[in-house]
Amino acid sequence: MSQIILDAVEKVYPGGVHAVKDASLVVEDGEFVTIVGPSGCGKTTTLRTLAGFEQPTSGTVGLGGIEVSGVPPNERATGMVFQDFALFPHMTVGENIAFGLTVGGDWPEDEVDTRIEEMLELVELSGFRDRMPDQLSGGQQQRIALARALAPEPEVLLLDEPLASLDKQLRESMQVELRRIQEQIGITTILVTHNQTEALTMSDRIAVMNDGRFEQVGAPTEVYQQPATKFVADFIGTANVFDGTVRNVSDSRVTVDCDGVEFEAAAPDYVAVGDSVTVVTRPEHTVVEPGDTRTNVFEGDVSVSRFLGDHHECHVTLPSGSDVVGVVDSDGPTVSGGDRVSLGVDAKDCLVVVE
Amino acid sequence: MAHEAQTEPATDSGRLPPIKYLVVSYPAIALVTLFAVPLLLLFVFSFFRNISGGYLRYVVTAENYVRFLQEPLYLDRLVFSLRIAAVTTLGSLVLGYPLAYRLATTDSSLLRRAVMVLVVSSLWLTFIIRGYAWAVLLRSNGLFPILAAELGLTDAPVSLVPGYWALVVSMVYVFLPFMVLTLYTSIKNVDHELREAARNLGAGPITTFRHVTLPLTKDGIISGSLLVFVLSMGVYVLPRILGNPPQWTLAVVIGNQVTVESNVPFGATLSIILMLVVVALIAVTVRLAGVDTFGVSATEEGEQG
Amino acid sequence: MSDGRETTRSSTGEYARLETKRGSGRDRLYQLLLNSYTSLVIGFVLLPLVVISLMSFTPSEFLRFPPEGLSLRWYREFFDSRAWLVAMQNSLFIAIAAAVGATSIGATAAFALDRYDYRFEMVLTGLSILPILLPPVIIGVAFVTLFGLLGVGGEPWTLAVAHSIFFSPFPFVLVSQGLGDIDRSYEEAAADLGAAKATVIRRITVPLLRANLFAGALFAFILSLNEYIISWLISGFSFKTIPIQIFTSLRYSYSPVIAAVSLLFIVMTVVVMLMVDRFAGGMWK
Repeated sequence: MSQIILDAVEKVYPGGVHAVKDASLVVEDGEFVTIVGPSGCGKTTTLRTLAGFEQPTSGTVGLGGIEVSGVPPNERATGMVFQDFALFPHMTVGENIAFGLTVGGDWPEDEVDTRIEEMLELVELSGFRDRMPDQLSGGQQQRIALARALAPEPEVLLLDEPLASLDKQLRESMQVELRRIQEQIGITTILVTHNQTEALTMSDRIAVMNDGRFEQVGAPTEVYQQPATKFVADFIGTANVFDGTVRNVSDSRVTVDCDGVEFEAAAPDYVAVGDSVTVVTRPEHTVVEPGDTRTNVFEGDVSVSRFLGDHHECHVTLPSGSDVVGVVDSDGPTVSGGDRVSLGVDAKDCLVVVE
Repeated sequence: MAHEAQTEPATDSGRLPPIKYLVVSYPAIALVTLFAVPLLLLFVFSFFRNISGGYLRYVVTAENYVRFLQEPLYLDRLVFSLRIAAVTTLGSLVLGYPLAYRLATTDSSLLRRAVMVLVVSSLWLTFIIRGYAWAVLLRSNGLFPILAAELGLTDAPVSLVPGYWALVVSMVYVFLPFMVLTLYTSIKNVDHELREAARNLGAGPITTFRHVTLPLTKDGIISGSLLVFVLSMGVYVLPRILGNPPQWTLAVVIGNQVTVESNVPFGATLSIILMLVVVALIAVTVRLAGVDTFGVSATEEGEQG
Repeated sequence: MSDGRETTRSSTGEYARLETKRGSGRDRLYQLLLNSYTSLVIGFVLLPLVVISLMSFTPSEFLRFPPEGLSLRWYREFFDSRAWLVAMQNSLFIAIAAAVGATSIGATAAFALDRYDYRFEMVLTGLSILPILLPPVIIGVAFVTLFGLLGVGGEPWTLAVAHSIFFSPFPFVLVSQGLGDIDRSYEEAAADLGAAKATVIRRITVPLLRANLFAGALFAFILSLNEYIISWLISGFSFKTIPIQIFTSLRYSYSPVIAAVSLLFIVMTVVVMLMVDRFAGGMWK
C-alpha cells in the first residue's frame, strides 16, 4: 500500500509566492524519504501540506490510501517533529508525551501510562518523565519531541529539520539514532533538510527540491552518481561544473567543448551536435598529475592545496578562469599554490547533463 | 478520517466563518456601543443648546463652537495646555533619558529591577496622591521652601504651591515613568556590541553616544515624547491641586463645565476640540516620524517559506 | 586618540597599561557623572513617596523634622471612618469588575485580530487602543452623555463599565504581544497530535498566555483603583471612591490621614507590581 501520495500539488500563497510547483511524489510503506533543498525551496511547505497546516492550491494529497485534502491536522494520522521541537514549555516530559494520547480520546486511559514509559524507553530517556522541557539538553529535547510524535502511533512521521538546531557532533549521533528508531518501528518517514550529508546518509530515497519543484527523486547513490540536472549535481556533494557545447557524437562517446577544454564523456542518448550541455565531474575522480593516462587531461594553476587526512584536495584555476577541485593521490606529487599542474578525469566519470 | 473536504480557498488553514465572527463580536460590540457610540454622542451633544439648570434643547446649533472661538478664555486654556505639555515633555526627556540609559546599560540587575519596580509602581499611583505629595513638599512648611530659607535663597519659607512651577514639577514627576519605560526599551534594543564596535574603532564615549546610541534610539525618543505630550494634554487633577486658575488646563475647564456649570453641551464641544487636537498630534507625528505609539502595529504575520 | 590605539596594540605591556589607565579614567568620569545625575533623578522619584510614608506615621497634625516619633493614629482614623471604608469598598468592587471587564474585552480583541482576518481590522485595532490615548476627561464626559440618555448612572457598576472600556488597551497590548511571541509550532504540534481547535486554545494557548493575561488584569485593576476624573464625572456626587474621597478631603486640609491612605495604596500597588513582575517572568530583565 502506498502510504503517501502527492499528486501535482501546487501551493500559491495569497501574497503571490509560488512555493510549490507541480510536486508529485509517492512514498512507500516504511520508506524513509528525505526532501532536500536550499532554504526557501518549498520543502517545508510540502511537509506542512502533508501535516495539514497548509492547504494545497491544487493537486491531491493522500495519506494511507485516503485523500486528505481539507482534513484538519488533528484528524490526520501524522506525527511531526518540529525544527525547534515545540515541546510545550508548561508541561512535563510525561505530559508532553501523554498529550497526543489523551486529546484524541481514543487511547484507553489505563494504557497511557505504559505507553509513556514505552516511548521513553525507545528514546533511551527513562527516568526523565517528570522533568520540564527547559531542564533538558538539546539532544534530549529532540528525543522527547520524537517520542511525543510517535506515541499516538501515527501512520507517518514527519521531520522538519529536526537536527538543524543541534551541534555537529550531536547531529551525527542523532542521525544514526533516528534511523535506528525509524527502522525499529518501520514507520513511513519524511525528513526535510537543507543538509545534503544528512540526506545522503539517512534516507532510502532523496527528493531534491529547488524553486518549488522536485528536480530528481532517487536512491542516494543514484542521485549522487547520476544527477539529473546541474542543480542536483552542484547541490548534492561537491561538483566541478563545465558549461559547453557538443562538438561530436559517436555511438557511445560525446565530445564537449567547454571554454577551450575538450571533454570526452559517455554519451547519453539524447544529445546532438550543437547542444548546450554541462559536464560534471566529482573531485575524487578529478586527479592532479595522474600517473596513468586519463581520457581527459587539462592544465591549470594551483590556488590552494589542503591536506584532508587520506589525501590532498587541490583547488585549481583553469586558463578559462573557472575553478576546479581535484585530489592528489596519496602516492602523488606534492603541490602547492602557484604550481602549474595537469588534471585528468576518465570519460566514464564525466557526466553530461542537459538543462 | 473521511472528513468531507471543506473546499475553502486556503486563506488560514480551514477556519469556519461563524467562529471567527463569534469571537470578534464580544469586543467589537463592547467597544462600539460603549466607546464609539459615546464619542459619537459627544459629537452630537456638542451641537445642542444648554438651558441653565441642567436641561438641554435638542437643536442643531454651532453656537458652542462659536463661543469657543469668541471667548479668549477657552482658546487661551488650549494654548496653555499645549505649552505645559511641551514643557513637561522636555523636562521628562531631560530627566528620563540618562536614567533609562543607565538602567539599560548597567550590569547590576538588582539596580535595574529595583528602579524599574519603583518607576512602574509610581506610574500606577493616582495623580492625586502624587500631587498631594508635592503639595506637602512645596507648601510653606514643606521641605523645599524650608531648605531654600535655610540656604538663604529666601528670607522666610515661601510656599510654592499653588503655582506654575509646582505644576511643572508635579507633571514631570507624573509622566517621567512613561518616558523612562519607552526609552528603556528603545535603548535596550540597541545591541551593546554596536557600542563596543564603535569604541573598538576608536570612538570615545561621547562620540559613540552621538553617532550610535542617539540615532538608534530616535524612534524611542519620538514615541516617548509623543506619549508624554498626549497624556499631559489631558491632565486634570494636578492643575486643580497645585495650580491657580491661570494654571488650569482645558481638561479642568471641561470638567467644570460638566459638573459646576452643568453645561454638558459646551463641555462636549470643548472635549471634541481637545480630542481633535490630540488625534491630529498623534496622526501628524506618526505620519512624519513613522513610529507606532504604544508598540502595536496593525500589520503582523509573515509567510512561511 | 589615534596614537593611543597604536600603543594599545604594541606588545610592550608598559605602554599598554599606561594607555588603558588614561582612557578608562575619562570613561570613569563620564560614568560618575551619569551615575550622580541619575541618582538625583531616582531621588526625585523616591522623595514624595518617602515624605508620604513619614507623614502617615507622624503623631501630630503636621510633618516636622525631625519626626516626633511614630504613631498609627492616622491609620486608626482611617479604619474608624465609615466614609473612608465605604469608599475603599467601592474602589475595590469597581477595580475588580474593571479588571475582569477590561481583560475580557482586550484579550478577546487581541486574539481575534491575531488569529483571524477581518475587513475592518484597522477600525477594531484603533478602537482597542484609542481609549487610553484620549484624555480621560473626554471619556468621562462621553459616558456622562451616554448614561444620561439611558437614564442610568450614579451607581458603582456604571463606573466599572466605563473603566472596563477605558483600561482595555492594557490587556489588549499585553495579550497582543504575548500572541506575537508564542511560537506557532506549539499550537501546530498540539493539532498534529490530534487536539481539536478548542482543546488547543484551552490547553496550549491560554496557559502560554497566562502571564500576559494576569499582567493585563492587574494593570487594569491598579489603574481603576487610582483613576479619578472619570470616576468623579460618572459618580455625580452619589458615591465615592478612594481617589474621590482623597480629593474631597484635600479641599479642607492636608490631613495625615490622606498620607495613611496613600501609603496603603502605595503598598498595595508595589505588591501587585511585584506580582506582575514575578508572573510575567521578569518583564524588565
